[in-house]
Formats: sequence, C-alpha cells, structure tokens
Amino acid sequence: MAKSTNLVPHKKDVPAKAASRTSGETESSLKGTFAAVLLLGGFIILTWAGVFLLFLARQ
Amino acid sequence: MLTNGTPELQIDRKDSRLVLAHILFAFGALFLGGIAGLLQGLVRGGVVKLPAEIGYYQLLTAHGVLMALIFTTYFIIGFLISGVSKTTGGKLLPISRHLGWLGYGLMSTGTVVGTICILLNQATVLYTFYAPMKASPYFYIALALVVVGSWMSGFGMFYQFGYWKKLHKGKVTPLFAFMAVTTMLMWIVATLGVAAEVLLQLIPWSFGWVDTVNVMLSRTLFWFFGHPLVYFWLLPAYMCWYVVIPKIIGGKLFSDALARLAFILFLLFSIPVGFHHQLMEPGISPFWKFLQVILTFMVIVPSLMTAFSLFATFEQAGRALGAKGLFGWFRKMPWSDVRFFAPFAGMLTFIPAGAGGIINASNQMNAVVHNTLFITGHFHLTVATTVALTFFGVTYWLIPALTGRKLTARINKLGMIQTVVWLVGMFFMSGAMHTVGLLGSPRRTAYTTYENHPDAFLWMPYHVAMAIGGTILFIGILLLIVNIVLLFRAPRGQEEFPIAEANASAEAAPRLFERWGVLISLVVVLVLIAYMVPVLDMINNPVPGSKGFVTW
Amino acid sequence: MHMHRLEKWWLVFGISMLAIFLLVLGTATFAMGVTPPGEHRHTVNPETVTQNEPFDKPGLRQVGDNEYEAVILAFVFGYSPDRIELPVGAKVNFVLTSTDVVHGFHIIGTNVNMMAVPGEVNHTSYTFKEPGEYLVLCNEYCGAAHEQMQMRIIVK
Ligand code: HEM
Ligand SMILES: [Cu+2]
Ligand SMILES: [Cu+2]
Repeated sequence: MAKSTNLVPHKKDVPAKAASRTSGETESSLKGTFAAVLLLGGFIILTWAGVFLLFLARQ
Repeated sequence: MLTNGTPELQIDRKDSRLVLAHILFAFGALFLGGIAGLLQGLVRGGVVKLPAEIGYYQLLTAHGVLMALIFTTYFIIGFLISGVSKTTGGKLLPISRHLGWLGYGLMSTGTVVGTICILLNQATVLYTFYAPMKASPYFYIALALVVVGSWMSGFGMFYQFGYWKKLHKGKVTPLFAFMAVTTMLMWIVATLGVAAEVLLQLIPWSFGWVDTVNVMLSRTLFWFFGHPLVYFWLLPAYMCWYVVIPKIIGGKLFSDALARLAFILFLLFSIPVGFHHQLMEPGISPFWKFLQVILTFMVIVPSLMTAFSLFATFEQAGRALGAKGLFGWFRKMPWSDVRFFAPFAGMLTFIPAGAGGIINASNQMNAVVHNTLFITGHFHLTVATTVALTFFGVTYWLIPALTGRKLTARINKLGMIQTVVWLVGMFFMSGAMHTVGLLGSPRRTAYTTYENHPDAFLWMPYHVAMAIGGTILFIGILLLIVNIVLLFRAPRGQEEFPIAEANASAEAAPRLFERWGVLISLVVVLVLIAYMVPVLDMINNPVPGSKGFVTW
Repeated sequence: MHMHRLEKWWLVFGISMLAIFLLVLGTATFAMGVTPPGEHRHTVNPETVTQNEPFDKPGLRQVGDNEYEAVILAFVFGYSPDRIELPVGAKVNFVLTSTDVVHGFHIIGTNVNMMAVPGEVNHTSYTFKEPGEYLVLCNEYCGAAHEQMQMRIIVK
C-alpha cells in the first residue's frame, strides 16, 4: 500500500526506472537504522528498569 | 555580489552583523559561566575554598543564569535568525532586522542588570528564583527584559516567514524557517507562564507593593515555563541535525514532512508537562501529577522519530556512497569533519541523556533522583553536551560563513580536539554526578561532610571526579575561545551555510502543519486540560501567602 | 504522509515501551498506593504555624502498633526535631511543613524525598526495616548555610 502511493510523485520528476529503484531501496535499506534504534530502545529499557529496581529496593 | 574579490557572504552583511553580535555575546556568557562552573566543581570536590567575599550560591546563581538562560538564548536566537535569513532569500526585511536588534538591546540590558544584581549579592536565588526567597526587584525586571527581548526577535522571524509565504503562495515553506517559527512560537507560549509569575507576582511583591506571594502558584507558573525551556534549547540542536547535518554528510533530508510533524508534536506536548518537576511537592493531587506524566511521555515520541530519521539519513547517505552490510554506512560518515563530528557527539550523548530524562519523569521514581546530583548530571548531558556540542559544531562553519572566511584544516583539527576534550571532561563530571546522585548526594549544595556522616563520606571520591571533569571541561571552553579567535583571523574565502534539500521523491507536508490558528488552539486546549483545574484551585483556595525572605 | 515500514515498527516498539512504563507506574501509584508524596491538600499559615496543632509540638508520637506520626518543621537552617529515635520495623507517617522558604527533606538511602513548602503540608510514609543512623538533609537550596541543614533518624 505504501508503495503505490509512494510511486505517484516519483513519476513527475524522475525517470520511472530510477524512481522504482530508489523507492525499492528506501523500503529495504534501513535495516541498519532499525537495528540501531532497537539498541537505543534496549538501552532505555535497561536503565529505566535499573532505577526502578533501585526504587523498589528503597521502598 | 561577488565583486573585487570580496568573498560572497552566505547572508546579507547587515544580517551577519546581527547574528555575530548574538553568537559572540553567547560565548562571552559561556566563558564567564565556565569560570563559575570550574570553581563550583573545585569547591565541591574540596580542592579549593572560596574567599569570604564570594559565596558558593552566588557563583551557582551566576553559572545557572549565564549558561542556562543567557548562553543558550543568545546562541539560539542568533542561529535561528541566520537560518531564517538564509532560507528566505538571504536577507532579512528591515523590520525583522530591527526587531532583532531591539531584542538584542533589551536582552543585553537585562543581562547586564541581572549580572550586577548577582555580583552585588542582591539576587542569590539561583536561576530558578523560587519564592519566597526574595531578590532585588531589579533582578526580576532584568529577567523580564531578557524574555521580552527574545519575543521581539521571535516576532521578527514570524514577520519574515509570513512575508515569504505571501510572495510564494502555495509553495512549501523552507524547512529551517518553519522549524524556527515553531520553536519561537513554543517559546512565546511557554514564557507567558514565567512572565505572569515575574510581572504579576514577584515584581510587585519584591517592591513591597503587596506583602505576600502565593508560593505554589509561583512554582507552577515557573515550571509551566521551565520544561518547555529545555525544549527551547533542544529544538535548535534538532534543527541542525535535521537540516544541516544531511548536507554535510552529502545526503538529503530523510523526510521533510516527518521532520515537520516532529516539531508540531513538540509544540503541542512540550508545554502541558511542568508538574513533572513538582512531583515531590504538596498541593497537587496525584491524579494531576500523573496526567502530566502521561503527557510528558507523549513528548518522547517525536524524539523517537528523530532518532530514526537521523540514523536513516546516515544510512541512506552511507549506502549511496557504496556502504555494505548492516552497519557499513557508519564508516562512511565524515568523521574528521568537526561540522559533523561535534553535533554527532551531541546526538550520541542524547542517548543516555534521554534515558535519564525518562527516569526523572517517572512519577514516584522521581523520589530516587529528585534534587540529587543525578539531575545536574542529566542536564549537563542534555544542554551542556548534546546542545552545547551541536552549537559548537554550528559555530565552526557559521562564523566563517558570516565573515567570509574559511574553516581551515588546522582549525577543524583543533575543533575535533576541543570536542574530544569536552566529551572526556563530561564523561567524568556527568558520570560522577549521575552515580553519586543515585547514592543521594544533593545538588545545589556547597562543600559539606554532614558532620562526618558515613554516607556523605562515601560521596567524596565522586565529588573529586566531578572536580577533575570540570577542570577538563574548562580547558574545553578555553580551547573553544581560542578557536573562535582563530576563526576570525582565518583566511578569506567562502564557507558553506549547509542546508539540506528534500529527496526528489519527497511529498508535501499536510496543509494542517501551517494552520497556525488550529495549532495554537490545540496548544491552548492541551494546556487547559493539564493545568486548568489545579491552577484554579491554587487561585481560588490559595495557600496563606508568604512574605519574602533574604536568607543568603 | 508516508512513513517507512521500519519506522512504523520502531514507533510501535517505542510507544509500547512507554505505555508499559506508564502502566507499571500507574498501577503502583493508584492500585498499590506507592504515590509520590503530598496527596491530600492541607494548608497552614506559615507565620502562625508554630502556634497551632500539630506543629506547635513537632516530634514523634505513637499512633498504632509500631506506627508513628512524625511532625516536622523545616526552617533556615534546620529541622525540628533534629533527631528521632525509632525501633526497627517502625512505620512512620511524616507530616512536614516549612516556616519560611522552600526546603527539601531527603532521608538518604530511602525513597523519602519531599519538599517542604510554606503554607502547604506534605505527607509520606516509610517503614524503617534496617537499623542505622539515617542522614536526613535539605536538598533544596534555602540560603547561605543550606549545606548545613540536616537531621538524624536513629533506628535501633
Ligand atoms: C566548564 C564547564 C562546566 C562546569 C565545570 C560546570 C559545573 C557545574 C557544577 C559543578 C554544577 C553543580 C553545582 C551544584 O549543584 O552544587 C553546575 C550546575 C549547573 N550547570 Fe554547569 N558546568 C559547566 C558547563 C555548563 C553548561 C555549558 C551549561 C548549560 C548550557 C551548564 C548549566 C548548568 C546549570 C543549569 C546548572 C544548575 C544550576 C542550579 O542548580 O541552579 N553548565 N555546573
Ligand atoms: Cu522537564
Ligand atoms: Cu536547604
């Protein structure tokens, strides 16, 4: 669904071939980004849980 | 414009002067604030004793005001004006520029008067000036001048933006200018709280026109402003990350529309959250505290979006340069370019900084960290590293771009060193503050052993680490000043004002994003939901008023 | 507005994480009573507070089986009383206000960390499970000798 809406504006300004290539790339090439943000999320959870445990220990 | 070999400036010469005036003032404040910070670190670490004429809390007031209020506000306004000018045609309208100078004049008058009050020991109330500690009325007037001055510059930016829109009907507005306008709008709404506190409560009380002050109301009005204040520091750093950094790494904006969405979310959710600074105090029911905790968590979402956008910008740029594998793009970044490296170090610092912020805001968990050095450690990561390093990174290209000079390889190298010095200093200072804060050591407290209580004894090594880190940081400030002087003596040339372009495939942002009337109404609605009932209660069933105290 | 598939997943992850944090905090607050301090609103006049109940006689009184009420006044630069003695396992309901500026009240090593605001009364409870000499300090700047403001709770 995202793909079809995404292709429409491409047609206007870039050759169709390039457009489908870039859009294909965009949809598949952010794996590293995803991994990086998940690491970030994991860090947040760990630190939060750490202080929460400290809170419970002092309760 | 390029005539007789005079290098072309990135924005009009008159605008450059206005921007430079702001930036240099900011670094003057940073230098003075840095001296105070160094001494604080050394006092707390038990390394030095202050002479009798200077109080620890007087220094701390100077440090907080000069760093958190003056350095930040001047740099931000200078940077935003420069980018607004750059992206709306390279030249401010005379009225916008005049408003900028008017703002500069008002803010500078305020800064000078305020600093004199602090030096005369008439305002040793710290930068949060909690009633019923009563400072000289001129201190409050000085702060009001700073706020009103910043509004003038904001109005100038609004005018410039509106004029650009009129001339370019139906076109997408420049992203930088849009972000600047959103940030200033958020700032103006937020400062209404502190303006009300200062003008309606503190000034009349300090002059003795009224006898008492409603303390709870004053604190609530302060924190109505105090939390968005931290977003006022952060959003300009985000602007650099969203708009400037992609250009420096040779990439494109990841998504113009999502960047705007993030800023709109900040506008909406950064204001109705001030109670998360008042979680440990009486007079506000747990329900309203928790409601604002929920709203605080909402304002984390645009930062999550920002994290994704930034990594995605890097990954796309890296892959375009041929990077392979899951993290290969990471190696393609221009690591030896201070214009990238300093803000990037800031971004990385925002990971622990943001995690700490979530902890602070977590309702009852706040009891673990409230008013401990953990908090001080936290905001030395957010504002004094994330934001400050980003601003330093901007400075390295902005000053040459404004003066028609080049960022030379040598200054670039010195800038890299300066960034690393800052990171090392902050690792020690902020790391020690976080740890010792979790052990209970209080913030805003001069050297003490609490009559040799064993708990306080355990804190000492960390306080010494803070002193060491603070000393390294101060060296970082000195190096920065040297670099700025070198930038002004760099060879003439043309330095880029990096503004990234949207992807060819970018879609236009929804029109709603610039329906300011709708957005402001939404802000008002959220503020009313979060604040109306508890504030009306504070006004209608006021606590018995407090007379003023001078306890320093 | 187009959003990358993985960004959507990231936001789902992130928002769920925040929602779980809130759920944990909210459950603890409203279902288990682990609230931040200061729940019920209770005002006093800071100028006359020392003449009226209960702050005319600050100190400890027993209210139940190993349960106590500690009425505490904060002022520049100390607390009244400045020392409390308790048996191990005592539950203490703290009642705190200030006669002048804003102060803090942090019992080091515990979650008792609350503000003393003139005109308002703050409340919290704590059960002292461990013996020891607890340091209580003011962690809100209150003036020139703020760093000396402290008291002790002795649990035996
Ligand atoms: C040389 C660099 C710096 C050093 C050595 C330093 C050191 C310190 C220390 C030791 C404190 C805590 C004192 C206490 O709570 O007793 C402090 C507080 C503070 N610092 Fe810094 N700092 C530096 C840079 C900055 C920067 C760049 C900013 C902001 C842009 C900043 C903002 C603040 C603020 C807002 C406070 C809190 C003041 C208060 O509690 O009233 N600092 N600093
Ligand atoms: Cu906040
Ligand atoms: Cu104090």
